[in-house]
Amino acid sequence: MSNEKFSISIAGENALILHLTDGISTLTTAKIQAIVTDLREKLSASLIDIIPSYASILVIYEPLHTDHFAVRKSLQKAAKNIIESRTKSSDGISKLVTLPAYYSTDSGPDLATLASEAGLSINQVIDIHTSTEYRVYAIGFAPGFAYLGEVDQKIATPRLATPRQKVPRGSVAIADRQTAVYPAESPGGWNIIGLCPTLMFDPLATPSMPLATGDRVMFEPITRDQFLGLGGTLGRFEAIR
Amino acid sequence: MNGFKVKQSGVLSLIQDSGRFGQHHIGLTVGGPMDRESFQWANFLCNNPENTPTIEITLGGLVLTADVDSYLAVTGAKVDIKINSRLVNAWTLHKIKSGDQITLGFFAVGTRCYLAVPGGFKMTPVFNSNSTVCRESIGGLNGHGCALASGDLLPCDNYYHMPAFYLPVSAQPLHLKNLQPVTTLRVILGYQEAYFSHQQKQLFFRAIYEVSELNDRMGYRLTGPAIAPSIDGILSEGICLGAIQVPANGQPIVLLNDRQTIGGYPKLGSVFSLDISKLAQLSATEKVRFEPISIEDAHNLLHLKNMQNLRSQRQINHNKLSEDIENFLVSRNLRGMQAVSACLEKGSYLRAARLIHQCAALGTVLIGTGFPVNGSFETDGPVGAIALYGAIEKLGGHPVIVCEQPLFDALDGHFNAHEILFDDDTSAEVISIYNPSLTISIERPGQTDNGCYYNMRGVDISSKCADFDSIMRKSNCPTIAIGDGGNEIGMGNITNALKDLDIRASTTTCDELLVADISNWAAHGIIALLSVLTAKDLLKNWDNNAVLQFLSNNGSVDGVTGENTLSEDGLASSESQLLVQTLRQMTGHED
Repeated sequence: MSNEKFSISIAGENALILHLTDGISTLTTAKIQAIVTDLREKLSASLIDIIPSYASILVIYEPLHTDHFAVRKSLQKAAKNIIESRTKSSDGISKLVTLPAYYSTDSGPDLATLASEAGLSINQVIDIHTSTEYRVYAIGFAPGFAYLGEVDQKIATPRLATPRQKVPRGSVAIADRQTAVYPAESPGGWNIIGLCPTLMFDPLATPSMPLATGDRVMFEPITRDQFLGLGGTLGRFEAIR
Repeated sequence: MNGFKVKQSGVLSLIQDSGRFGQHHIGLTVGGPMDRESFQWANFLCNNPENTPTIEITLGGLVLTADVDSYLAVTGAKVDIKINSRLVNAWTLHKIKSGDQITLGFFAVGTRCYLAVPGGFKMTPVFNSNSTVCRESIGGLNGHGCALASGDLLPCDNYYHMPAFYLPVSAQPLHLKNLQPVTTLRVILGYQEAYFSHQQKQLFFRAIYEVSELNDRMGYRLTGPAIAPSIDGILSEGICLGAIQVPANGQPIVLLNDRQTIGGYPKLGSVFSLDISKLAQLSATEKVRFEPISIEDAHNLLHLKNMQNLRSQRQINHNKLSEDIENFLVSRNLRGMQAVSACLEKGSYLRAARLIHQCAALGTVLIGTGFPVNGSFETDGPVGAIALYGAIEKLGGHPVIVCEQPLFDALDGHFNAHEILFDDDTSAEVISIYNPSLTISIERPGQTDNGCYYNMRGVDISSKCADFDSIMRKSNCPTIAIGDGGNEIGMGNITNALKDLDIRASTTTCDELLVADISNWAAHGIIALLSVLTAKDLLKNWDNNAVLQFLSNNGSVDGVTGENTLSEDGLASSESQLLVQTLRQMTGHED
């Protein structure tokens, strides 16, 4: 039954939230992308904003133009059409983005601890992290912060007990079965295993970030020289250790 | 470029427009004004579109110096505002001259103020918005999310003529006048509400919570009874404005403008936006309670609020403008009209303009005019009638000028005109022909208590006057009358106020009486307000000399001198032209 595959709830006076009940998967992500595309077109003028996430879509509408009945109806229709259609995980605009990463104990202060707790060598951790194809499940927390999943169970590690006050821009990090690149210097509690020289968020660029929800991502190991050659800096990082 | 220079930035002063929308998919938050209601008023008072950059001042202490001639309005928290050493009102548009220093004290009630200027502060938007989000390093003066700092120059345009808008005390938000012991926040239940048991919800809605020290633009953490949902966390999902999230310690957090776009704590629902304006004015240790509200009630309230705002914008501000015009038009006090004007309920010009605005398009507007002088007609009256005639036509109405000879012959063929005869009450016929939607009398002699007409020297002129009084009395529509001496139609409204004037006062009444130093000027005053109501510069092409020349060619005389000159009540045409120009400036129209 299709109506068991999703639910729609009120979130606030001008927001409804659609939940897909199947949980995190690349297929869920593909369906979410398709529904978002459809809603952007159908709701156009009444739509204020839309937030896709792992298995949900928050739709914020203009309550002086429409009401929650009408928006609910559009959501229901879009969700039903797409969930019942044979959407495959590879459908939609799903580009592959390769992010270079300099893995080392210099650039990843938690790399050694993570490896020893996982019972692996540092090189094994790097191999596992770079051999998995990730999906962008969600973007949030900070501008350009993309939640990538899923990290191999072997290197999945819980967040730090005490978050760092400052994590440098470009930090490649792991939290449970997710990985991410910090787009800007910020506080953070993820385990840092390397640095990525690619700018993850640039307000002056179009598009302002290299990733979109649903994209496929692979990490490629680079050397320190390559990292520096691509414009990466270690100075800021060392300053906060 | 000119602008305002930041002399002291205060505790935290941020550029905010309506907010940054449509960028949640890349993780950008909304930003924008925490107290949206006060923000909107700051811009409305400056006649700005809603989405115009203002300064949001937290806790106070901002000092600006003007390097520009403009205006500014401050709304929101209760605060002492000084222009140089002069204390001025909040919720009011003030004129600022280059060199002035504007000082905001520290707030007495509330935590946030909005300072707006006409046209807004000029800067390059980032992702379509100037809202400053420090956490994201985005927006504001240089685009990098910085708070204002001393030495910053806030560029804006020069403005020389703005109407003196203000929001009356009765319309200002109550919670900013006096601190409320407990602020009630209405809540639309939603999100994970099913995971909060009946008992937990009861606890939540009965409790009084205190605003903690951890309150900022991201959210307000509250302290009070802990609430326990039956789940610890959820998959991170989108967070809307006002969402009430309950982390593991059970202390609710209301998420506000600079919130993270997604999060994984269970949420009970969201605070109603109109109450967020109230919450955003609270500081640590102040108290709140929650009250559930249905989404339908919330939408209903939003629509009502919107209508109220629209009406307030159109009308409340205009009362002051009308009063200014009323005072201006009797400032010479040529025939004692200052004292008479003081007896009229304030806002008469605005009410008259609204009547014309509402009635013009509904049918025919009768305009009675013509004062006999020296066997002819005087220039005061017909000039104003012609001005009103033109304005009503521009509003899509059908004006007809009603008068007797010899004025009728002068106007007939150039205007729709109807001749009324001497010694004859033709009111029933006139009303049945035109079925007017509005009847106006401008400078028509009015009957006195004995039924006769007298000029300003007390001479009986009844044989030269046809009866327009009966048309005014019997018209089944609103009536407006204009006079400048006391012997005109309409003065019956204020018999007592005319006792001290040396005049045989008219007893004919009307619905709305307007007075001015010269009746023609009253017509221009009404049209100035019609320009505001219709957003059209209706006085722009007024050529006083050309109208006087037309009347003079047809035998008009000056009512005071009795001479066939291009003048009104002894004043040269240029005086009226200058007055029209001043009225345009008062209403924000300038060349």
